[in-house]
Amino acid sequence: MTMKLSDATILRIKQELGTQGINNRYLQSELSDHIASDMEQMMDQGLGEEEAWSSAFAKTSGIELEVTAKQYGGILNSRFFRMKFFLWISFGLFAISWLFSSPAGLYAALLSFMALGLTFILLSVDFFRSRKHHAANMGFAIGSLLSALLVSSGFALLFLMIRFHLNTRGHGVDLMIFSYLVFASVVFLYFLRQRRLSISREGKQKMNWFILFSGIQLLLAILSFLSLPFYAWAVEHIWILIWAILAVNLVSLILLLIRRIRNIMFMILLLLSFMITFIHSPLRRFLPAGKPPISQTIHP
Amino acid sequence: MIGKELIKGMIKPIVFQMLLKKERMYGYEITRSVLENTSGKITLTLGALYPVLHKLEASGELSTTAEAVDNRLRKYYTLTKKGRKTAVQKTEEMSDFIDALYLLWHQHTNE
Repeated sequence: MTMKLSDATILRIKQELGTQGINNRYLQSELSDHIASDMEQMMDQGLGEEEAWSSAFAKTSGIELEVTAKQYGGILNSRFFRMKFFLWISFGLFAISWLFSSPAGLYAALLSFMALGLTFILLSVDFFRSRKHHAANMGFAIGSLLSALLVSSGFALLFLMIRFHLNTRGHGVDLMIFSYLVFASVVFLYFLRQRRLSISREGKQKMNWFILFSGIQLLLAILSFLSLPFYAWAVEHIWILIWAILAVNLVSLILLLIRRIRNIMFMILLLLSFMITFIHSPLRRFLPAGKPPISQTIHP
Repeated sequence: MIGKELIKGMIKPIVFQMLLKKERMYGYEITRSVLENTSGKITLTLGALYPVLHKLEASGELSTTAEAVDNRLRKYYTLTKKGRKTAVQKTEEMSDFIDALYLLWHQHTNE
């Protein structure tokens, strides 16, 4: 009968790898499976657990682990580099758009939403490429692509309305809110899936945080979406929703920074909800760009 | 036992060869299989094998699936369509290289 290591030993292996510089969850999980399999093999041949432990770790030098961790980090960074780049570009252009009044600010805002759309497309491609890993990835790819189309076309309509006085019947805002709803659903389902796949306690705990934050975002997105058909009734109370979304974004960002939890998908969701909400918030009045004209013409 | 320096450049073709023989393998399984098939002469260390596997995954030549096995996650590697093409080409190249080396060594001993 094959010897099987206990949960406590697996955790101990992960902790040992952590002390040797392997901190990435996925890499730690893969290498711990390697060492655990090696230990089990040796224990099958009659070695005690402690002897197998020493022997398995003796085969692995600290330098080798360091190189493996560095290279893995490099691969991950290059995978997400373009997404992070466009996310920063999007945020930067959006921030610049607050500094100049129309039309320069408006063009900067248009470009920032286009950059955000590109980030969604890159995410969609990443999911599409890994569609064979999990069937749900195809759904996430479609959801991300749909969000890209909705948010870009939504702001493009707003732009046409403000810049060229085209009557878009407020559909620009509708599309952007729909994009918020679609992407919040994608992110929430993604973290639910990730939690199901997590085996370690720390992995599940981390996912619980993301499920909580993305769940709140999804709830706010549903409320925003529901406000559309009942706009005449909701218009009096919409400021509550705007402040709630901005407050949730701020609290999420602070908590994630304090807990040093980073995730590209969650950061995209935060930026999307922030950008969509901020252009309709009274906060913009305090910035050099002044009161945004779109707040007067959202629903003509 | 063959030295690390000699094995270093051979890991990629070895991984390709293993995955051409068996469709889906996890890291430790590759190490074990190489060790057994070479009568213990070639040992792939963890620090040598995984950087190669991750590079091949990043370049789209290997795809991965994660599965819960007992109380842990296991990552399986499979050749992609692109990877299979490269694997066939690289293993053929390796085969020629081994033949050439054999000739060279054989010639050397005759002289």
